[in-house]
Amino acid sequence: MERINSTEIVNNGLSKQQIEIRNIPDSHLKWLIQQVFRKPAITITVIVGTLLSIAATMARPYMMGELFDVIWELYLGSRTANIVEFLSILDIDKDILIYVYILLGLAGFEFIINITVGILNEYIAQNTERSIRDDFYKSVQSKSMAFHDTAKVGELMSQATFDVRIINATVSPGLRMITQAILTASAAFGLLFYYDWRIALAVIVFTPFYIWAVRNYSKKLHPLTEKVQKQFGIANSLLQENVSGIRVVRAFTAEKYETKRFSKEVDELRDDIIARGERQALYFPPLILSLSITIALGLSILFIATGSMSGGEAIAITGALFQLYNPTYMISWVLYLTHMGIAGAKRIITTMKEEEIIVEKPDAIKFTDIQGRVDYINVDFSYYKLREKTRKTGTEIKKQETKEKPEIIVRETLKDINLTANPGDIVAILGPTGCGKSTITKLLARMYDVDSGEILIDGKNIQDITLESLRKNIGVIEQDIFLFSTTIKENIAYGVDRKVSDEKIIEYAKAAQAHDFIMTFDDGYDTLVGERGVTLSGGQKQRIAIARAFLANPKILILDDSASAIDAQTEELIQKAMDRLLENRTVFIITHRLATIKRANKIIVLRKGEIVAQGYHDSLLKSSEDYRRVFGRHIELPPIDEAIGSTSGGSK
Amino acid sequence: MSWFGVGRSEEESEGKFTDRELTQRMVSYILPYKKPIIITTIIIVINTAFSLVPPYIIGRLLDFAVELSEGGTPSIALIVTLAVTNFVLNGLLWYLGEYLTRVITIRAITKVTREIRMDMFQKIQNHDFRFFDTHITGKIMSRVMNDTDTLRDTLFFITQLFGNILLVLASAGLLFFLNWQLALISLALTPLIFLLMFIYRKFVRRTMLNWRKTVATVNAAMGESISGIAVSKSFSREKRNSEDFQKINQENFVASFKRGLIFTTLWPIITLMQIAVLVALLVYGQNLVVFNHVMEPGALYSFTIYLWRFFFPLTQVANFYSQYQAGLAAMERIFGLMEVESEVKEADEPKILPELKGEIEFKNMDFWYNENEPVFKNFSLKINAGETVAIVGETGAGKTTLASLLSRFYEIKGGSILVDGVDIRDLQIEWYRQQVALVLQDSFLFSGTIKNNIKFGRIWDNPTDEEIRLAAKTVQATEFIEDFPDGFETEVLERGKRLSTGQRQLVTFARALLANPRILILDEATASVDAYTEAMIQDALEAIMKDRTSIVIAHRLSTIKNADKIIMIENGQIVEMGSHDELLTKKGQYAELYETYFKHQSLM
Repeated sequence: MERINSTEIVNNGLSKQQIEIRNIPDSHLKWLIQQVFRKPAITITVIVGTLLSIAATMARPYMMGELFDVIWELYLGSRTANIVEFLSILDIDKDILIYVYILLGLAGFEFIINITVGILNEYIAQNTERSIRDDFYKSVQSKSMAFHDTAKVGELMSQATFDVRIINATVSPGLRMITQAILTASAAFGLLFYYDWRIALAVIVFTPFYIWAVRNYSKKLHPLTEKVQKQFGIANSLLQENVSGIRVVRAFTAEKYETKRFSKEVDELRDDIIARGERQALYFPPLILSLSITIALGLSILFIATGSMSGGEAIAITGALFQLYNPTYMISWVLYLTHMGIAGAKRIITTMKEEEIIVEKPDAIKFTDIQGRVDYINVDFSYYKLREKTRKTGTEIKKQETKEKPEIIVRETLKDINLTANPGDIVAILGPTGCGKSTITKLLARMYDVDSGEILIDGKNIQDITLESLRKNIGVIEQDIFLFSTTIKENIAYGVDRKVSDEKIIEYAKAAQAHDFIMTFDDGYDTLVGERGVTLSGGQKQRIAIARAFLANPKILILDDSASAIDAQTEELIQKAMDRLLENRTVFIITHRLATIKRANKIIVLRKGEIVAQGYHDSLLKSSEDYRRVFGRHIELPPIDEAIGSTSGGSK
Repeated sequence: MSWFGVGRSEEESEGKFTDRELTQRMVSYILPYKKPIIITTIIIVINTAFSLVPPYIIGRLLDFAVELSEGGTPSIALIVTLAVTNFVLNGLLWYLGEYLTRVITIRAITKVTREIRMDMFQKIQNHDFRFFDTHITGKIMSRVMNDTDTLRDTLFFITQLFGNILLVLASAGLLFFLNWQLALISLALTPLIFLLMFIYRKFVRRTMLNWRKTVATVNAAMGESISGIAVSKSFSREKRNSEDFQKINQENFVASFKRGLIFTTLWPIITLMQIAVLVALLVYGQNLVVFNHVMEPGALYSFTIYLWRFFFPLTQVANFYSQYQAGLAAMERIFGLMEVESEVKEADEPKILPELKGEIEFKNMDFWYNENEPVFKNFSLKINAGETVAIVGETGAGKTTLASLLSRFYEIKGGSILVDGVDIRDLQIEWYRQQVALVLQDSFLFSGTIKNNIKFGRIWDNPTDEEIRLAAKTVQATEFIEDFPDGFETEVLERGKRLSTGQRQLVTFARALLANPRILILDEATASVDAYTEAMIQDALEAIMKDRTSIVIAHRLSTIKNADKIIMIENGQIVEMGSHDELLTKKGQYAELYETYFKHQSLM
């Protein structure tokens, strides 16, 4: 990839990432070639080596021709001579011996070259695969949540394994094949001209027809190849969803339905592969070649008979002509591989080129020692606009997905949000399902960028801060706890870069009330938790997530309904621990639990993306309709029945 | 140490099958395609038979032409006839045959792959949950999609095998017919090539298996890091993730490189051997021609051409062995996945009850995930038909497990679970699960429209749009759904990412309602909706629960209080049971919990 120097970055006002993305060429073939030439020295060595190897291969029919001329001469010269003698069985003519040595030498040379070039080519192929995959991974990691919200996991997986792997195949054996095909064909033609221009011309006459056939084949093959890979991705996504959601599938006995769905995609994949295979089988340049060879052969016989060509020459010519079969078939393969490579490249590039990233300003400052004051000033945000944007630059799959009619109504998810939290404040956010509670907090960590307005931390716009230092200072305990399929220990330590001592991990696990249940497992902290933490109960997962967040020691903490799956007893314990843990942090809590709400310094009530009220519990209860709708009935009920959540809105 | 793709997904398939078993299984997939294979074999033989003629003709022609040049007039007609014959045999027919074999082969191979894939998928649909607890999605996927794809090469070699064997024999015969001495020299190579392949065989198997494993790991790492991207981002882990991934990718690079090396070095060695034989042939042949006049130079030349025709199928046959080893490596993984014994098995004579009343009884039930950590021991509980039962207890007490066991996601280790007095293991699984609806803690939605997601609850009998709307309405989901421009047709994206957690929960709730089950299990079903919506749902819930057996796992007292029976579980044992009022007066653990909880919540 081209490197752009730092002054240019400042001049363009683009971040490094944006430049990297824009530097990816639009042409898939060009990108593919760039990838193959990542280590230019080795790639060129492979090409040169292949050239030498071809030279050796091509020299063989020539040598054979010469050899047979000698044999013929000796044969014709000694037609009547030589009585069979047993001992003469190993007699060899001096002239013939030279050719034998040459043939052996050539073979040895070819062997060494082929092994070397083979290894180098293999290296390039694997290196290309590895590098592209690393880049792809990095690129996917750096994409914003707007990208990930719409991306299909299975599709990306298919690109990272299947498509990248295919590019590998394009390089090995593709690279050598293409070199070989071109060189063999040119060498064969060279030989033909060297021996007899008349025959060479007779063959060349067919070239335009031949080229037309090749191009036609190539053109027809491309969409078929692309379809196979796309379909592979589709089947892969479906499978991914099925396996991830297997519990739901099972719970509703949808196995038959799912099997039908999968079989539909797999059948289509099968049909696509067959269609591609049938198209490949139709490749008819070999037929054209054999027609031209037939004519050349007829001519050679004629020329020999008329004395203008020797038998040996004819053998060399036939040899050269037959050499053309190889490149002809190779071209078919190379085209097949290249089309697969291009189709793969196209899919990979489309993903990588998507400029759906959170832009870090080139002069962004690193945030250290923050106090934790947060201001939202006139913040507007809409997921719909985001999707609109994604749609324009969307990948292939997304284009497919959005066959549905586009949203015409743009509803703001958040409208004119103004809010201030001082260091150490606990801000409770509440409101009905889907009103934008989680979104507010996601904007703070720049998971999405605001449409307008700004968010400040300690008076600095978060867009002027490096992403890493911003996010490192914000801890999130999300609603759906995601644990990685590794040990409990590693999950707790996930948020910290440095090495964490076991004591420290245990200390935090204890604080999050997780230690006791962890110790009931045979492997304790080394227990593997399964994908997404599937082997743990909801409450256990949550406590690990709490330990994980606190170990990271963020100055600002977001708790997204994080106690919902915890039983009353445990919650009580956690609450006590929390008191200590929450000290000296600015905390945003999304909750409907009265106890938590009452501890808040500030309560924000949201409705359809707007702050409709903020203040303290007591004052809100008196002033806010929306707040009363949630808690209103408590006032009318006797105290013993006032457990939270048991009420319905009395003041609608 | 990297964090992903480790999981519990041990590669248990290794060495589980003997080569013979794998081969038998493979054969059972290929057998239905014996017709295409036979046809392919025939075409290959015919094609080659035709193509054997031209080199002979060319050799003869050249000799003939050389003799003509010594004096004589060439017959144009003869030359043209010979050339055209050559074209028809060598070009046209060959092309036709080639086309046919390719088409037939690709069809057969692709169909076999497709069948294996579908069988794997179906087998996965039947695996019990223990399997999914210990296997990572990405690795399962890799076996279904990628390993089957690798099998294609092997299948190709299998379809060509018989044709090639016949060719080897036929061309060997021809070589003997032409000149037995030269033929013997040529055949000297055969044992050498087979020896080489035999040596290679072990490397091929090992490197292939290794390679396939690393591919699966890469796939799993990719999948998991995309699924967990939100966590990675909030901890700003992207850079470290990339570093970790590079390590995994590097392992794949090494394995893949090794595999590549095997095939790259094989061909030059074989080519070298072939040329050595060719040279030996020429040395001896020139002797026969020049000194002994046993054969003509043209015949020697023809012989060298035939020699290559012999070599090609020979190396193909020999190569089959190593290709087959590669295939076995893939098959080991494929069949390893299919062979996982599901503990949950359909009874020999599965029963379907005419009507399910919904009486549930756990009888001395034992269950554990790991033998040393029993979840339930001698657990007994009876729930009457139509009752609403709330299960209360600490996290990890076994509440969700109880729900899973009732749905028969895992098989119990001892005792029994009876529904209407019948052991659930005797009931037809599909029918039984249709009677039980489970709303899980994790609100999983599939990509697709909201409508389709609700429909999923009773996908087996295609519910009407009205029914879907009604279910949504009952759980108070209509309001937010109609807020979307596309309403019920709103695409929710994978895992329902487009909806908020609360909205997702409402959809899963509607989905369960649509199923209209006799037994309804709500596992924290309303944990993520706001208090207001929950209160509204609560009203609906009571009506819904009225005429069916309901089990509610909840931490919210609102849900618990109204239950007919509250069961408090601790370490897999029932510690208290009774109605809310009963338990309060008992002043036991529940009362204590209620007090604590209440104290905690009633600051108003």
